[in-house]
Amino acid sequence: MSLLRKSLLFAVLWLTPTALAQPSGELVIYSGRSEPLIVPVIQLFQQQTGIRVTLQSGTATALANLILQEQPTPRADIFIANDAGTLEFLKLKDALQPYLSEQIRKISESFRARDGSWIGVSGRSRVLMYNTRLLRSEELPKSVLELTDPKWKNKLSMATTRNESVIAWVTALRLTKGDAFTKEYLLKLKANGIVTLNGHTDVRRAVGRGEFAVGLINHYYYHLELRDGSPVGVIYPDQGPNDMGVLVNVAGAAMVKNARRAREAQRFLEFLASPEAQKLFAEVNFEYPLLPGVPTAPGVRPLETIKLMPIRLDELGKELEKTLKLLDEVGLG
Amino acid sequence: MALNHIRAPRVRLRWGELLSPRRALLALSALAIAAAIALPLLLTLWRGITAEFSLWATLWQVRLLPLLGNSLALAGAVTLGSLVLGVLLAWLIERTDLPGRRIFGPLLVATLVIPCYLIAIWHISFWGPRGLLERSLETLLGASVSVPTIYGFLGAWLILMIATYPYVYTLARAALRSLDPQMEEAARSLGARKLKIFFKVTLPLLAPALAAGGLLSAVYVLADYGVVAALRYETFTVAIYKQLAGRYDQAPAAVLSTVLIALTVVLLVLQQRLWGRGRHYYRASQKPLPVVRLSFWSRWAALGLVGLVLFLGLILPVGVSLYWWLEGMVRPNPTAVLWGTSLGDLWRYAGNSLFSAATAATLALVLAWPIAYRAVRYDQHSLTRLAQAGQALPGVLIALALALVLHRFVPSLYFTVWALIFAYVIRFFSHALQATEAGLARVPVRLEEAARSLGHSTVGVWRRVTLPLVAPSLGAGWTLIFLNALRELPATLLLRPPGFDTLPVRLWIAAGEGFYAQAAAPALLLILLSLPMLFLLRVGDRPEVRHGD
Repeated sequence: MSLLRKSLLFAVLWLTPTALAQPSGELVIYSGRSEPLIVPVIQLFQQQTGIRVTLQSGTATALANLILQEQPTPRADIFIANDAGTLEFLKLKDALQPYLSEQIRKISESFRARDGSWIGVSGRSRVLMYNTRLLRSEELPKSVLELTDPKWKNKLSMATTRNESVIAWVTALRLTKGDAFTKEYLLKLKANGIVTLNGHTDVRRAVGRGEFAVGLINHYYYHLELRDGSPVGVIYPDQGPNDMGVLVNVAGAAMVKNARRAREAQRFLEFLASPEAQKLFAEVNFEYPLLPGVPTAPGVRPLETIKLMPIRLDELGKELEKTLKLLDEVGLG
Repeated sequence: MALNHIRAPRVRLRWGELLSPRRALLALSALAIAAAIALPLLLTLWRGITAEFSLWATLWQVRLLPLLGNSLALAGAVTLGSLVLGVLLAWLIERTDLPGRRIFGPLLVATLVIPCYLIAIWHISFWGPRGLLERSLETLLGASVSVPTIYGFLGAWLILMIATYPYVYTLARAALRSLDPQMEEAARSLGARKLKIFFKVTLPLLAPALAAGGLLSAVYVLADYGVVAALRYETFTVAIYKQLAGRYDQAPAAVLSTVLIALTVVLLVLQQRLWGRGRHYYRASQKPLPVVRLSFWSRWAALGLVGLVLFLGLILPVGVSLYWWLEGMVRPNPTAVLWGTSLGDLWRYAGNSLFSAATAATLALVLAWPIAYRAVRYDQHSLTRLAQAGQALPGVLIALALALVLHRFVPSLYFTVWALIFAYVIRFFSHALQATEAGLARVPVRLEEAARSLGHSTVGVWRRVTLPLVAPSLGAGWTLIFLNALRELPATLLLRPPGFDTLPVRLWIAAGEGFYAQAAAPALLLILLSLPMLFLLRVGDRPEVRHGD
């Protein structure tokens, strides 16, 4: 009796406040980005504005799904994604609230939804990273399309095809080279023993430690691994005159439709477009700042010097479901 | 164990009784609860079975076949390994003069205190590429050394074997203790050698218990998410988790789940059959079993084996977490603030963990009561089976199933603390049922009847007679559910509401990003909070503690 009673009391009296206090923050953010890459920015926002933030981290797709399901009474006010395709997908499903301001208009229209449904906050290019102890410079691949060659067998790694950056890259391949080519290419990669890891942090560490010679990543993961002191190099592939170029995608943010704290959400979007936040993305994460006038971090190759794939970011959203279907047919991990 | 055999005097069912409002209420509430508990499972199965045929066809080729191969290979290898290890260790402890066996006996079960995903994480940080071992070897030898990779099948096999041998070990010890020495004596008098006796007499007698324990390991492997995810070995749970986290359409996840559920149910049914058979030993003689004297070399070999198992399962995980914790104290990482590792944050995570686990344990017992009462007093067990459905559901599946149910029927509950608590209740409901049924079976109906005849109301009888007698059993059940919920990982990862992080979630995310020092504090706290499990294991010797998948 006493044990049961004690446990009941324990549960009800002492701990109920912890549960009732959730979520305690004023602004609820669903973030599909890796925590260490977004928390510094949120902390700066809290310091500057005094607005408290409750952060839910997860995969962008799972959170986007949640936002769709929670309409029309969403819990989240802000959605942060690591991929423009996911944001555009939500826009097409009418789950985002457009917001434009003078500051946000400064970001080029190629990096945001024209109506302000979502804004690109930081840019990243899709590159190859390699371990300098395992590969000499004359051995390096010049194109991602070379990776199906048997000489790369069991030497490759990438993030899981559930990762939004990977999905966007596959969409870009489809749009440039066609569905049949892309499917065959991915099947060849699979046959070549490419290992899919849980996320890009895993990929960069695995290449840094020499488990794999080459990894497909976003460019800043190379810089993060280099900063950690690993022997790694970067390849900007497909740069020849007849090659397809590199995909540049953005991580972005949007206000959720019917958000309860619309004013705080707007302030957050303004903050993301501000020079201070943009500097943080550039310096802490080595991403491309998208606000004109904010410099890239030293050592990061400027966007202007890279041959880019001619892909409009909103296409990534329109084509998302077709890409997912193709990926399920390929069955990479 | 013996308690399970004692049945309270059966109350014969008369049709007229169904008309009594009390009985009708009991039956209805039991039915409602069982339905609520089983609904997620049934809905998942429904979604899977009714999925388009073309989806099944595509998945069969590219996903299901490799996943079946991976899952079954791992489950088979782990089962085999834990059987050999468990029986060998049990035999050494029970039947030989191994020095220190009184200390080693309980210590060998103590590995259950550490959640298995923690064992995996710390082994990776130790053996893994650029891990503690490689780096310390490098400082010692001055040259770079590379340790064979821990990732993949072999690593997952080793860690899961370390995690599941205690199930076989406890069952084998109990069985060895209840063996009749006369059997072996007879064999010896006929001239059989030690090894022959072991293989021809002892082992066949142990077989039912062992098969049950082995199948338990197999079910465990199929349900595990943390170890295989950390060690990069793709089984069903990992595939389903990825599907849930990375796709909008959940039909493929439901298809994969259907196959996994079918597989698990087959194993569970087999396990219960064998376990039911294995419990009945006939023991004529009360003489203690003879102890085998180990030779000098075999004694050292045996000590080495016990030491190795304890090192891998207990010393290394605890030692490495202590190392990382101290490392974090001595050399604070500037990015540590990101991880919320201040004492205040830690208490918040612990508070969340304790609250959800305690509420789930209490709720499970309350909900189990009508079903258990009906089963014990009126001998109606059909609902028990239905309500135990959660046993067949790995945490990942419960998350999927609840997502399907809540989203459709009670969207306001979706992604709240209560959804999480409900997930724990479903997952561990069979423990609540077992504990309540075992407790109720010990309360003679006559006692209740006598109290009623003395003028006590129904509630009065329940409060003053039934409950006090059932309490110890409920207490044990409560603790078991509480501790299992405390360490639950995959369902928590998928269902936790914004801002509601528990200790396992925190350490899992930090370790996933390679911030081991930031994972150490929640890990140690989780181990500390799990220590009551030792007491529970000693008392019950029941292999019911899960590793938190």
